[in-house]
Amino acid sequence: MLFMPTCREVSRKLSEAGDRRLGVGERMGLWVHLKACGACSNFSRQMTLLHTAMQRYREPRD
Amino acid sequence: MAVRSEKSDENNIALELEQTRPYLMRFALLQLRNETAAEDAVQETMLAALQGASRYAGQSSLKTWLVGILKHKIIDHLRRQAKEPQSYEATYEDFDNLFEEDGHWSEAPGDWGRPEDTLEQKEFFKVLELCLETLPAATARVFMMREWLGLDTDEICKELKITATNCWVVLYRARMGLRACLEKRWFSTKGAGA
Repeated sequence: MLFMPTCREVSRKLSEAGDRRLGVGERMGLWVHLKACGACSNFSRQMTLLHTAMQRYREPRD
Repeated sequence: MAVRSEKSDENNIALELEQTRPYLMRFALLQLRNETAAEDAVQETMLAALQGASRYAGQSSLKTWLVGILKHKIIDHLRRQAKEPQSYEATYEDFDNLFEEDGHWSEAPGDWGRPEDTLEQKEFFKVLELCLETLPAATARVFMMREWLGLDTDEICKELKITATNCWVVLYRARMGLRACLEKRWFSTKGAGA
């Protein structure tokens, strides 16, 4: 069954994607949703930025 | 093998250690949220560093080496804290006010522009630190374990004796909080992407 998530569910899955491997169905559902939804695409990029920023943040700067 | 003067190496390291103390203290505080515990962890790091000074061969930067030790000390502290259970209760429903009833965003996330433009700005990291400080303590602890200590959720669950689902929800809470804070304190004022 195809997972047709709402923005609310997409935001949860995008966060969880940073912590666990999503299932095929979940990834498909996300992909379809993100294709069509600008707000969630922005949110997805924000999550990536946050993760990258935390990685830079933990690298000690001399 | 060249024999260097161990005594003077140790003195140099002791001096450098002191200079790094505020930096380590900031990280320990963000993670432990308790001045005494943070001071303890940093102190233990300093001692371990001095005792192990001969093992520091200058192969990585001193800061990197110290941060490595500090991470272990922080995990020790978290382990001790975990014996006094804390509340990490959170459900996804806690965030329902961010969405309409039909599941759409109440306020659609905006365009944050090019990541590199943001990440090259030192000021941004100050704001990020500020935002980390505004998270609730338990939330920040889990987020820092994940993103700063680099533990995976299995390890976090074990250390804190919480379920994986609970862990994901707490991490979601942290990320939603941080993105809202960054939006407000950085992106809406800088006009990024505009």
